[in-house]
Amino acid sequence: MFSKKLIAPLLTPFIATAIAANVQAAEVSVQVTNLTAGMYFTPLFIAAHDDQFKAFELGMPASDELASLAEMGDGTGLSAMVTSYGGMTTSNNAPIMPGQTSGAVDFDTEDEPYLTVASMLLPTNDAFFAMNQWMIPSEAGTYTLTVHALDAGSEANNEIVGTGEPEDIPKPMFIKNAGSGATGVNASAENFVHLHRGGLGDDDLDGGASDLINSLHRWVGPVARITVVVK
Amino acid sequence: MKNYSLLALLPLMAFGLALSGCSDSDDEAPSNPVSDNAMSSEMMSSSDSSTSSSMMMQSSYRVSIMNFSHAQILSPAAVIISDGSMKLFSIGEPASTALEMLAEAGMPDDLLAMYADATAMSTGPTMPGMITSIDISAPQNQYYLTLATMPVYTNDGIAAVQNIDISHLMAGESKTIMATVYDAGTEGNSEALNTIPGPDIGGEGYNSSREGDRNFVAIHPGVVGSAELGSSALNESYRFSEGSFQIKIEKM
Repeated sequence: MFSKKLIAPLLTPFIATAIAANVQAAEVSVQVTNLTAGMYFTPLFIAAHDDQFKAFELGMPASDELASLAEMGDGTGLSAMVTSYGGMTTSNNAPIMPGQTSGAVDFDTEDEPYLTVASMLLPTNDAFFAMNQWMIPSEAGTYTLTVHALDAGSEANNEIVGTGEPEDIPKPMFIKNAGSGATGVNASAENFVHLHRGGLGDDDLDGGASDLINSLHRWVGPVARITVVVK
Repeated sequence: MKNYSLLALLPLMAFGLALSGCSDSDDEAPSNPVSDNAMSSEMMSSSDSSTSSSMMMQSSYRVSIMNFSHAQILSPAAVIISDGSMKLFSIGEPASTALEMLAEAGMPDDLLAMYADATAMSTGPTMPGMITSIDISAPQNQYYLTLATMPVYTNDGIAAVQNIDISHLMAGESKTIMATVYDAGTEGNSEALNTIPGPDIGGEGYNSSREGDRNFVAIHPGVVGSAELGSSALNESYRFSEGSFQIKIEKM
């Protein structure tokens, strides 16, 4: 089973299959399933690294690099951090649609002990999910973790979509289900990373306070299933 | 004359209120035997526990309450390590008056008093984004952790874990679990000003009446908020999710 360090607060880990084998350098394969009905995931940030890198700490303010991922789906800042510490990064290079599973990303983690996977939820201001500094097991096998949505706390959840303003929600081409013309939810940035309280939304696609849809852009429980195959 | 009679009546009125309070709780048959037991065992507890603790090896734990919500404050918590024979509440059953005190007013004292034969302590409140830790030692034959606290911007919510087996933890090991948020069912979820005890809302805490209430414990439906609930004094920032409140137990 997992030792205590593997049980990050947000992860509900269990082992689907495990074949005994001692490996130091690990070839892994990462796959993410979008468990939600209406949220989109930005292309995955996947990193192998040592303990110098940690994408965030619950209860603490987000770094600018994490904020870029959570607000714009942009993992380049986090990638630069990982690289500067001698780690390496990869991605599936594609968004993950509601209910869909990404392709498997093969990744040679060499002798890096930790794996981090993160992605932004759209349409949200700064929601993301992550497997945060997960210790790569020495036992080969398939490891499945379900994770909850987090709020980076770096941007107010005003739920205005597609204006191009940095404090609003970006609307890439693949977002098909958001409204427009909202006046904005009266909210302020929370200033610390925490569990996301879910989208609010309203039932007015062409106005109202929110461009999100109250019957679609909400979730209960975990939003993503992360499957890591350690070879 | 009138003044005198009014003054004379005051103590009587107070006494009458106290009496009616008693008879109310007598009507609630399920909770009554529990509180009776608590009283009798409470009186014996000092000699009891000191005897057993001197004979039994102790285990020490650090219990941390982690508030990862945006705006909910967690009330002082009841932290209990017991033999697992008691429960704070059961889904589908009416809440005890002691649970109601926690769920409506954020006061854990009556719940703690029910656990006279266990190790039971209270903590201070836990602000959003913060962690409250408490060190607690219990006899080694008692290894079930129970913890309950009120998210104070709710009518009668309780974030709790019940009878979590911590016997497998080795020194230095820890485990982190999500508290489930329950609804005591002792007060309607109007979210209205003056029905919620949280600071800035400043409303009523405990109210013994359950008239018109669901009167059984269930999973909390969440804060709805003023955008969708006309009576609500809570804006959307007070909403919480599964995982917003987490408990970490570390064996020392």
